[in-house]
Amino acid sequence: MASITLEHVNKTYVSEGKQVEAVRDLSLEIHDGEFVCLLGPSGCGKTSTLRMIAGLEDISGGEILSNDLVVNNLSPQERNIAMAFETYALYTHLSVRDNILFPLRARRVPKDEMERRLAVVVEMLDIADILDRSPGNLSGGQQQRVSLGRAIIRQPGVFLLDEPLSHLDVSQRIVLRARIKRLHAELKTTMIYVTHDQEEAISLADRIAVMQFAELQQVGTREDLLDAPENLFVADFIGEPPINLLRWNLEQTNGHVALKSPTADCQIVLPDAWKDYLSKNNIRKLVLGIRPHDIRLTENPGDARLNGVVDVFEFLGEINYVHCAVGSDLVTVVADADTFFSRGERVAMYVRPDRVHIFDAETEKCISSVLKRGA
Amino acid sequence: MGTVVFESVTKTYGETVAVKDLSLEIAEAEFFVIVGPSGAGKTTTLKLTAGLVPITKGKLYIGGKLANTLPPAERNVAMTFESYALYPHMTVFENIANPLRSPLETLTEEEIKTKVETVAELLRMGQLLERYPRELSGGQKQRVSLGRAMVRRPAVFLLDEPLSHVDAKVRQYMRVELNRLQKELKTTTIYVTHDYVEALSLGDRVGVLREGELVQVGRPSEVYSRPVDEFVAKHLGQPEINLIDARITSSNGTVRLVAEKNPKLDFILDGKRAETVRRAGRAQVRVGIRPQAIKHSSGKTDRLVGEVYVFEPSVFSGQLILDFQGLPLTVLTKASDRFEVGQRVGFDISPADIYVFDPQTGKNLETTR
Repeated sequence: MASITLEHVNKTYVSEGKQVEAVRDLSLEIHDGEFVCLLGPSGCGKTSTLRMIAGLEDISGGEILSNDLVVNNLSPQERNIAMAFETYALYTHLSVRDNILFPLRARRVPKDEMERRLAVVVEMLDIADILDRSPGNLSGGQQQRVSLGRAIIRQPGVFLLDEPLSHLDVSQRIVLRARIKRLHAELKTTMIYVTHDQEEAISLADRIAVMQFAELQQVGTREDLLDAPENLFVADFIGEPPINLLRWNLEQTNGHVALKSPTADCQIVLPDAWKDYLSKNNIRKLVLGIRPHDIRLTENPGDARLNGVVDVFEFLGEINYVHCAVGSDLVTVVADADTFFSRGERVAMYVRPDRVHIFDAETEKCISSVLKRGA
Repeated sequence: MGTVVFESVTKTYGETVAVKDLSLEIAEAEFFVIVGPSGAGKTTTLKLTAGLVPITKGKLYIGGKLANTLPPAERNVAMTFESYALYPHMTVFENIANPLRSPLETLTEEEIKTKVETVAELLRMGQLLERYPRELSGGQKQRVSLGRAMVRRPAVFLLDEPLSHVDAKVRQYMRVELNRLQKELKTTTIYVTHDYVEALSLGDRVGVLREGELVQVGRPSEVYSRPVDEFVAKHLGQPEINLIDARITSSNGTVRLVAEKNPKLDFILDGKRAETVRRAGRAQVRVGIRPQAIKHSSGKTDRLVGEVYVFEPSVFSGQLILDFQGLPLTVLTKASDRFEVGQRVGFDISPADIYVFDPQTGKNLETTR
């Protein structure tokens, strides 16, 4: 069991004579037993971070602590961690059983202890029927389970997982995702999981650390990220279908401030509590963000109303997406599987003004989140 | 103009049958999506239509004309490829203009420019015309590839997995764009994908292909809600449909289906449904239950109670796996629901929401005549 703490961690590479910053001033606390996802697009620094925690990369600056002990100079073997890779890195000349037992043999664990641990892993990963096969004859999902098994059997204090599902097809991915989540519930071991897939992060993690351009953008629960994003990047990266981002004009009306569509007769009067902040900080240009799941097709008292015309309707089986033209903007709404619309149909959409997000168009900081946290 | 008719079309490569006895009529201006796993014969069907591979048996009509032996250039179809197939040394403009420079065309430079610009505007890439393919994102390359197919205004578009190499966000955006484009251009389109979401979203009709055979054709909502067999039911929908082996007992005009792994889960069918299932003469069936058909509640009055094995939230819904005394059940939950491992959850399933499949053939007993 272990906690991991990163304090002002930096990583710089030298590439073609130039210094490249892969990770900049990253501070992050991962608690014992927690499931944390490092989420971001490729090149954001998430894998470098994981590799530094693993001890596979030197740390250019700052400290990494495990259970309050600095591990910067410890070898990977000395760190009480186990890593499962995106590519499974299995030994093809060994059977599944021997692949899984390999780390224990290397540590000269007694035979009956090995067998006991193997039985637990086999049960947990449901791999009894493939134990004697060679990794070369397994499906991607099976190989990934073996790779997980090899990590689990060591009973490390921390699991590091690097995009373990990215090479699998959709059904396999969903099945294995559930298994990993269940595994964490059973083992209660700290897990640090790298992914570029926001859906995966939302489904798995206790907390998500969103990275972009080598920097930590925000860390929080899925609710924190959805309801109070730090900035435009986080708001746009998380959520499917993505948040509706609209460049509407900030205007005064009857002593309130409102965001008004430049091309349609629609406005959202912002909560008065936000008004003072905007004038105090002299903010004139905003980006309006409305999550598709905050838009309703039925009215509640106090709702702002957006009038749209259906541009594209998507039947998707479990859920339907309705993309509506509001003036020259496109606003996406999610409808129940049994609610159908046709192109050209008029749709009234309703949103609670305090559910919208406003971003400073210049700094891209989310103003409404600052105000929500202050309240 | 743009009708495509397959009459018992078969394509074999040596011993391998890639497309088997395909009969299908695609109407003028229809957006027809062929969906299926890899190796099902999807791309071969497109290549047969384009004339890139010869038909082994059967007849193909394009625009009412027998096309079996027509060379590709005379079929008035345009095909895009999964790998874009752009010329790296040519600008976006030249890539799109390329089909217009074929010896069969006799256009002036001015005419070519107008056509390319019209297409570029339609695809919202007017500002990209001077760029080279290496300077484009995956989504942009795909649009150039579409532009090149569109520029000659063919009677039929053949699109091969156009969205398979772009990231999730771009894919969603492109799906909306393709939907809109289709409404504006009204050109007959045959679109191939392995992704059921694309099929449901884009198709006027969807054809499900499996091992070279067309298993089912229909409107997306039809195919989704009345799958003809287990394969279609499993292939369309995420999380996957629950398939549960059950024994049949019948009495007094009703049929009772009892889950083998847990007899507490049972369904009573009556009237016409009972008769249909009984007439199939099976002692066992497989019951199909879509994850959204399992209605859960916290109430203690529920007939059925399972234990949370794992719960995964998402933005719009959640995936809950219940352990119903040895029988795993996948449940689609509302976005606001939260569950803890080990928690007891009551649920119910209406017999109206279940499918009954033949365990040997996989056929849906109630859609088979």
